[in-house]
Amino acid sequence: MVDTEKKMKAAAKKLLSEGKVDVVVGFCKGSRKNASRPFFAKSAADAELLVWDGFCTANLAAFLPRLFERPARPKDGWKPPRVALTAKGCDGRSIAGLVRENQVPRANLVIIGMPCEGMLAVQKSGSAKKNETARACVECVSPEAADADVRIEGTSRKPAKASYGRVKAFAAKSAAERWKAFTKEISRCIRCNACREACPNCYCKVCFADQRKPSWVSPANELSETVAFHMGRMFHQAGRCVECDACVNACPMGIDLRLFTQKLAADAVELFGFAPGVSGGDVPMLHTFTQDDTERFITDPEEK
Amino acid sequence: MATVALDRKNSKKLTAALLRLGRVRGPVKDETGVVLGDLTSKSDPVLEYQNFTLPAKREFFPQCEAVAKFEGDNVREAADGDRAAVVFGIRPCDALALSHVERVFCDEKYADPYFRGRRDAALVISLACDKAGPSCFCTSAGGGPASAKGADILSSNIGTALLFDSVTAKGESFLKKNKGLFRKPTAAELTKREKQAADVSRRMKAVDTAAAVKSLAAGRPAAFWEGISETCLSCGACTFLCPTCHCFDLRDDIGTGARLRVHDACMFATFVTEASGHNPRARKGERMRQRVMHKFSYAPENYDTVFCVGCGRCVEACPSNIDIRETLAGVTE
Amino acid sequence: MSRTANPYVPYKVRIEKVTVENDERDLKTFRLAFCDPSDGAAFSHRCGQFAMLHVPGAGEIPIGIASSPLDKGYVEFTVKRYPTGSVTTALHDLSDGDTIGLRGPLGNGFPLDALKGKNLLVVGGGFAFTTLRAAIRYLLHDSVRKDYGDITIIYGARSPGELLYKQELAEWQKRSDVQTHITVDKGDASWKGREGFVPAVVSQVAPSPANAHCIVCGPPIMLKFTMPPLLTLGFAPEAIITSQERRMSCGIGKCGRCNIGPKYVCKDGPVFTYAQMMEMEKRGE
Repeated sequence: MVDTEKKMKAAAKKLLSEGKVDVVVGFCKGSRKNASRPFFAKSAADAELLVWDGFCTANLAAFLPRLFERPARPKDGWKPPRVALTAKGCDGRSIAGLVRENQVPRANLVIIGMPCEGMLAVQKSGSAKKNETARACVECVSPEAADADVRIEGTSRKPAKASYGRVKAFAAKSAAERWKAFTKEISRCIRCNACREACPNCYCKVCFADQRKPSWVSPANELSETVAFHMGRMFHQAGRCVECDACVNACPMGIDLRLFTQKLAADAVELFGFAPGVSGGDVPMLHTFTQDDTERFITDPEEK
Repeated sequence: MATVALDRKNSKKLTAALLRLGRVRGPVKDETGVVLGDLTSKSDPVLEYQNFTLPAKREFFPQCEAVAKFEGDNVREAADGDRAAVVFGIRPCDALALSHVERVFCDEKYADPYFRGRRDAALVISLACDKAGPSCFCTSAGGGPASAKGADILSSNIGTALLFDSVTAKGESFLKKNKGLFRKPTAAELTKREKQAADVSRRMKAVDTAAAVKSLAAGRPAAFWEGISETCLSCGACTFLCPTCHCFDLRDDIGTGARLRVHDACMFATFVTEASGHNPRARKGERMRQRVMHKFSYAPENYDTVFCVGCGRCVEACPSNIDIRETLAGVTE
Repeated sequence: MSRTANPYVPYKVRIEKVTVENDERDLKTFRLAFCDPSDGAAFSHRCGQFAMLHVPGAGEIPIGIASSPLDKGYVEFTVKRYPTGSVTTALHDLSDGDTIGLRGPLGNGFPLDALKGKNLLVVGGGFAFTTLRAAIRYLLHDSVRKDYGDITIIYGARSPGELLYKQELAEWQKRSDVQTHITVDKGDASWKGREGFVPAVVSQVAPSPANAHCIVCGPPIMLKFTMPPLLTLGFAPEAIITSQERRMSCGIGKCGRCNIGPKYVCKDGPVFTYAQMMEMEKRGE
């Protein structure tokens, strides 16, 4: 990985010193033990601080909607920035989604495709566990960003085969068992919104959960409200979630959100043949239909 | 009152004595680790943990609490929430934080009766630290691994025994009433306690908070705040886990028929957005500035203390690993 | 515990009268009476203070008290309806006889007692004139007027239809113990009065700063342009008094929302001197 890091830094420095981009979004050494953290390199000197290691877990695409958002009080002649990003497979899938949804101008992006061997599992404390590959990486079906402008050479993980075994095993349980497990897990939520803010797909200016007129979800510490928030957010991820676990890693309470996000992802594959950034095409899954899309959930809602 | 000791093997008797006072909140093990939960008569309090993920403020200033109830077209006082009679096992940082939050909630002019009621009802027994966490810096934030401030009783775990010191009259009263449980500590035990606290203090990296406070009072340019908040996601993990953060919102909840006080965060983008749509802190840098200034400039000005206790939770929780210690160091550059 | 000791529980008040103040019909003055007379007897405010008005189900908003403490038996508030505001829209839908909640009085208020013997210049713009109206009603009261020197009022609105308290303005203009200058940004066919922005009128009227204080309330843009002529006239920043607004939740200095620097608008304000505002701006707040 040291070699990969060197090559990446050289590429970043070149982009910056040649004035091709305004910022390289990557990672630098973190202050926590076993952590690297997001970093914006804006000069060749900054780029010297970029790292590439097993702690580069965060989904950097989450910063893109923010970087391209027109500021509240823009200075004269504000233009969208030109951004390079050191992208793993998951970052790449997210970027594809953001481009697909017109949140990010592809022409202003330089995707630096990184060879990803998988990142280390992150503890609730935010630091990585040594020698344990993150679950999202073990199950990752596309470790390399598909649409890289600059590709850094190196070895990547072999793509896993999507099986969604854990989700299927969970779905096979009785409704009562599933509800009990779900509510027990989700009731630890403190509504801090870290999951939402860490997710590249959650870029809405006003989240449905924050809307006041009308108010769909209250911040009350009632199970019903917590469930409503998470179910709402999950369903808004259908056909969009890239299973990167950014939400899982961000959650300070260590809630196993992956079990639920993967259910939506599994459904997208099974019902629509759609895995964002991997298969199913370029039109957002729920923005179109075909004649043979399933209607069973309307006609036979009880049928499994 | 002099220090008293309880042999570790008798800790269940302590639990029983505490339970006689009412509901006891203390360290319990669950699938996620050690959390502040309800102790029962079967509980042998777990004492092997660094700190609870969630701050102790939640026992006195819950995430969501009714402050008024709607009855027809009348708005009445809300009933007292489920109060704890004992809160045991919070770390000295959390106890110190409690004393900070108390000054905000119960000032000379207005007292929050719900906070006041919960605090008055509870006997707070803090537990000194026998090791420092990876991001702890309490000694640089007005506290220490064996600081007594904010608690009614300070306890220390020295392995074979627990030592107790009363801090307030309420604490002293409990120790005196239950003196049959305790014995005199040996000189060796007292020494061990001192050494433990000193060891923990020594292991913590110092942060020059005083210099930061001074520098912040002089002001920092907007570019500084934009710089440190670049990778901030405005998520609120830091504020929700912070033991001194006390910002809240009041919302009418027709569903529960109550006016609710709920935790809120200055880091949220819409925290100060007005009905007209104008947002005085639209930029992330402005919100980061507010958070840091509130804790390290306005609080010193208004309360003669920083509103940070160095517990390190924000450092551990931040998805972008933004580190308040680095911010404070950067402020003085 | 008595209700007054619980700062979160509002007094119950009944809407006695609703007056539509402007042509656009989005400014209404609500005259409120306490449902429990003992609450009314206990309630006593200073000009410049505000209260949290509570519409159950919608929420609470901080509104300046528009009536004088010497107006007995009722309290008045003038509220602008924001289409995006949950509470202002709910409030504007209410009518006589409906009940709402009131928490207050809150805030510091204008330091009128300390200004006894001084000449006062009262400058207002738009619908920020509400607490100034409270102050003027108080200052012009028979029992109070003699305690103060010359009183000059300068009040402007966008158009004649947007002027608040039109009847009172007419009454003040008839009085000899107060100089009242009303202006509009743009008049209409029937407007016989002055045209011009408030800052310009301040320069034209040119009240003397000698032994004088100025109380000025208006939207941020008006305040920004009114300060220079006041300073040019010789009013010291410490002698210019203004009122700030921020979104509030608790109104009692605990929820951490309305601060400008170390000061809470609800508790240390909303009334601040221009000198204090300049200090805060210098600090980057």
